[in-house]
Amino acid sequence: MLQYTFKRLLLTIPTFFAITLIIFLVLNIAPGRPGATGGADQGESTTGQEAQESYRIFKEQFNLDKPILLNFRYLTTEQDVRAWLTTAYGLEGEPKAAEKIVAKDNLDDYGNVIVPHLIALLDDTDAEVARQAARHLTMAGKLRFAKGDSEEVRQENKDIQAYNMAIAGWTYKADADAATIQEAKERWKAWYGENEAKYQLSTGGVAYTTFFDTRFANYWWNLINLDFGVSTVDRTPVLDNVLAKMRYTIILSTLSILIAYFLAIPIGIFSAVRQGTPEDSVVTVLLFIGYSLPTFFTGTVLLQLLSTGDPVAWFPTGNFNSLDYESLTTLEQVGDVAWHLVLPLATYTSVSLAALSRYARTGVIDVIRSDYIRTARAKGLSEFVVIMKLAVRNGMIPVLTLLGGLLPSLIAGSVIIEVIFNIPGMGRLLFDSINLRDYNTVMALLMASSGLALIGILISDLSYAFADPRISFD
Amino acid sequence: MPLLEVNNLQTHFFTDAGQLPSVDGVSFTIDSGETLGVVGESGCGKSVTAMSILRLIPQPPGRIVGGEILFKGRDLAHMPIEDLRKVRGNEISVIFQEPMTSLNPVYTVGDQIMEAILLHQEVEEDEARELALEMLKATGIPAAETRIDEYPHQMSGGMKQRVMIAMALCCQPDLLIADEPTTALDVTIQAQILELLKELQEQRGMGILLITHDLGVVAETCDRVVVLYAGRVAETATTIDLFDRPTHPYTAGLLQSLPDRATAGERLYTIDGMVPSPLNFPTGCRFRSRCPRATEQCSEKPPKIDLGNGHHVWCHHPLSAEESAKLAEGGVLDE
Amino acid sequence: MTSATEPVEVTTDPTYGELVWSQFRKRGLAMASLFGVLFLVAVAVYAPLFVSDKPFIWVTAEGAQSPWLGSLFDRNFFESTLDIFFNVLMVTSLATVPIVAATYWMSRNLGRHGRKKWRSRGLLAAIAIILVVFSAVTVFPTKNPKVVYDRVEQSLIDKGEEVTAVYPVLPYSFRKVNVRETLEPISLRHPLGTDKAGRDVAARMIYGTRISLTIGVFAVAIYITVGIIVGGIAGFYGGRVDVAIQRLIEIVMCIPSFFLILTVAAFIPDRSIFHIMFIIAAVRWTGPARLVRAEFLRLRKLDFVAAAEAAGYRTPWIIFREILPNAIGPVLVSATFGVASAILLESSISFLGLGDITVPSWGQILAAGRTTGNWILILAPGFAIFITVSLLNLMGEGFRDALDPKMRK
Repeated sequence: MLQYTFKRLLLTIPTFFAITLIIFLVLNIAPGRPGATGGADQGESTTGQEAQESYRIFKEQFNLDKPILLNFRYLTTEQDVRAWLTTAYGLEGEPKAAEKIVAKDNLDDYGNVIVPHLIALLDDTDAEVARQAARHLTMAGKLRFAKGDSEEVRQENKDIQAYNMAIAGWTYKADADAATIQEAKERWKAWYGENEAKYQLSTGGVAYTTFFDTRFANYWWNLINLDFGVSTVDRTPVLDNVLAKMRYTIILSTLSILIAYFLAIPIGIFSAVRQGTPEDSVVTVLLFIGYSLPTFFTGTVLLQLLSTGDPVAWFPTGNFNSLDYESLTTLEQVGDVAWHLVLPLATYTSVSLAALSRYARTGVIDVIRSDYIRTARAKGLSEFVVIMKLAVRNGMIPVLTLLGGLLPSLIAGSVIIEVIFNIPGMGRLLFDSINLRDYNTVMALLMASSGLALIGILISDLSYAFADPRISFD
Repeated sequence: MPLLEVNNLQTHFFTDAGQLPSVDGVSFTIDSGETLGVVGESGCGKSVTAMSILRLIPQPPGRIVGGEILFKGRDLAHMPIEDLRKVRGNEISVIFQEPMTSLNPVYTVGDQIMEAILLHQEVEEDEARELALEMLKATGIPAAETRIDEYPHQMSGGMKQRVMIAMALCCQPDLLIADEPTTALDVTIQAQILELLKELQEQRGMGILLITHDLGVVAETCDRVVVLYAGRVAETATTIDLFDRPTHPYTAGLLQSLPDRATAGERLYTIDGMVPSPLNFPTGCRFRSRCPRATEQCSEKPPKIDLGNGHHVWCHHPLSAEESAKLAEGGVLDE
Repeated sequence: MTSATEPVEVTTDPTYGELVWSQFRKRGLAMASLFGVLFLVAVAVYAPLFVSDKPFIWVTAEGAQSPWLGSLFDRNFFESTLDIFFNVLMVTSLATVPIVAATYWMSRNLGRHGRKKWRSRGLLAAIAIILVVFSAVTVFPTKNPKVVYDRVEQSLIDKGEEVTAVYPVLPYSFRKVNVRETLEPISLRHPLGTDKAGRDVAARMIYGTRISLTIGVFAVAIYITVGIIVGGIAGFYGGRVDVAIQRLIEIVMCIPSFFLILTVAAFIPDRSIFHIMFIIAAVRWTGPARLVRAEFLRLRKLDFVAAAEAAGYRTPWIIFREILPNAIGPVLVSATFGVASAILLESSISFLGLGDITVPSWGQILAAGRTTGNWILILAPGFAIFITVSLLNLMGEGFRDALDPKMRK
């Protein structure tokens, strides 16, 4: 059993990485993806500038200036760079706006790789190309900051900062006189002579760059280090925020699962034992209604009916606890949370309760029809023992498998419940982050919910293996 | 007084399609130490008869609507269910057709045997385990000490049937109902199981009600036979009498369709058609829709003919003594 | 025995579909739900007959015309291609319904193959008519000037001219804003009141049927197609291909799809209901894929596939002609449930304000109800979704039972 658990846990790891890969690809390929130019800026709830800034932070966090899977940028030629310069600034022909944007992005994103070509282009026959090359050198020549928080890293970053600052000013205006231009060009060439090694790739560097200097590799590296970056809204670490909000969602969904199982099993058994009677029909119809009622409808109606004061206000209109929560005694605190959770839990549980009860009913009916129930009766066991001992143990095995699907669906449902009842959990956070275009938080939430879903499936697999001896542990 | 006396048993099923008289007036008796065979094709009511004795038919839709089942003088058909439970598994036990599905997959076989012992006998758990082990050994399961803690899915079909037998016999019942105990098993295993049942019967002197569709099994194991057709008894006799003097045309048909009757190159005899659905049993003699000897007269209730020595036949046109003799010698009737 | 002398009896030679249908027909609840679903489809298709602010007949001194008819394929009035498509369905139903009914009726006494042939021809003809008309109106769109007829009528009457105008029962457009009539209660003029922008709720509800049904049907059609292809490949080839696809399916099933759907939906600029459909399809294809794979694995072990292989048929032929028709039953059952669940999903997305904001989706109306606390805006769309989903689920259960050979006699 222990070995099985261990094996199952190990299997979860590649699955989790595969999921992150898919989410990563979907977000990178979907239209309006965060990496697409302009797409991210179209949020209705943020002004253009804020979105631009949050997009820049996101781009940095997820290395969106790098190619997605494989990096072949060292193959770029001088002709390529020249073409980008002429396109980006409309120096030759009449490029379309989209082409200009792509060329500009390339010049920005390729960074250090194109430094040697830009140096060569300083001597281009077209003066404007040469001028733009010098201008782009101030950006392409910049070094990346090292990551980390140690004293050496800080010192190193200070040096890099000084270096970047120093080269940033080496540009010249289009109407500058020949001497100034010549001086700037010379300065660049001298600089390049000193620093050439930094901008040339060794053979090992080629292999490393191809596979690891990519968006995806960096993304995984961040993931392994649990580095989700900072929120683009309030600059706090995303992970802390997500973990804090996760608590509410986990409490809510766990309670909901417990209540659902606690009610569903007796309901299922009752209606299976009374199969075909009017009581069974009533239960079946009620369950069917519960199953087909959308949670956002149930939630809205419950809230409107019991919280708004029209007609009654028995329950709070939202939140997880009252404002004066801290000043209450422990018992009052529990009562306060319970009072706040009645409506969300009722809404949350209605659908899973219906599904579970239907499963429990089918499970017990299957068992009641089975031959071994007849064997048990032939032994002289009373009907009560037959149902309780056999039908429950045998019939609940299929219900256990549902647990796996339940946790992910509850987490999914948390968005709607938490938005309606204004509970500060994961779902609410996702909803807010999506609307604020807080990409880092959204990404971390997607990861967290995948992790929770996997844990749910793991628990259900293990309990299934535990309950059914036919499942071998090898 | 016989051990079990079934009188005019009527078990009907009440479905949307109508009332199905699956068992419609069946009577027979079993004495201690005796094996009674009940034969017939699928759907003729054999299993329903057997299950009715302990009221194990699914209810609804099934219900015993008439007759009595006297076990040691007590009427099982009308006794309160609490009293019947003391009989089930204790004085009367059942072995089912499908050992594969008749054992609960989530409990060990030991647990399932002990369950019956603990229910009916005043013993501690350790003792119950000892008894269960003893019983498993008696059924000839090799390495019973380890097998007792295994789950049913870890065992073969023959092994499971031995477990079923152990479970049925652990409380020393007076009557064993064996509902086609060997149908689902390989031929070699079949013989072993039947041999085991016979051996255990000799040791314990219990009566056995053996349900089967196989006249070969009847010839080997039974003392007396009841031939059922469409929920009614067609013929009843000692095994020797039945094979020596088969008199009902249906018995004749069953005998002729035994595989060892067919000589090389000949087609095996079959009775035309199938047992009709209980929804449309013919009036009068129910076999008349398939009987080669049927006449107008057969639409009336067939008379009971007493051939002596407990040999009874319900038929308007029974086989003559010559025809029976010809059949008994291995011949085939002319049509 | 006697069949040689009697006319051929249709019922003795039923096709598979007819067998299933005869089982389905016996289930009262399932039949009722089927009629309910057909009613919803009719509401969606014939919506302009009941709701339109263009008069059927418009007679003034200048002459008589039918602005209603002209508006049906008018890009200025029905901006969405979806509405144009439904209008095509409505107009062509004058021809398609009789054609399908006639071929069905006339072929009733033919043998099984004849029936199959004629009925599929009738269906194909109907589909062809719809497609031809639809392409014609999309390729040559009309753009009539926008005329607000009730105001023109009023001004003409004020001028003392004679106007005869016959409007549909609800003379509103589902998107016409009317700031003077916001949040009106239920009245004769507005059977379900109006919303915050003064739009008639009943009109929006009726046109919302189009949105829900389209999203349900199309999203499911997309992912069922993907699922059949992927699952079919896995099930037919088995081995490594199967293992790889199995793993992929397992992984996709672990993805928190609702979170992903919301995120992607939110990031798409100018999202339309077609985006929503594709997003739903992208996470839901695993269900039918697993189903088809299991069916294929089961069916390819059966003798008839081996027989087809032995007869030298090529693999695609075997898949499409021999295996697929046998696997289609369970897939169609799951498709019926899938439509219900896609409708629910779309409503949830719209409820959160992440759907297509230009269409009158039920989820969006409910969201408006939540923010305004207006009971009509909560109950009308809520019950519409509930009833649609229930009907589809009941119908799916009916189909499932009808397909179950155990239930057949």
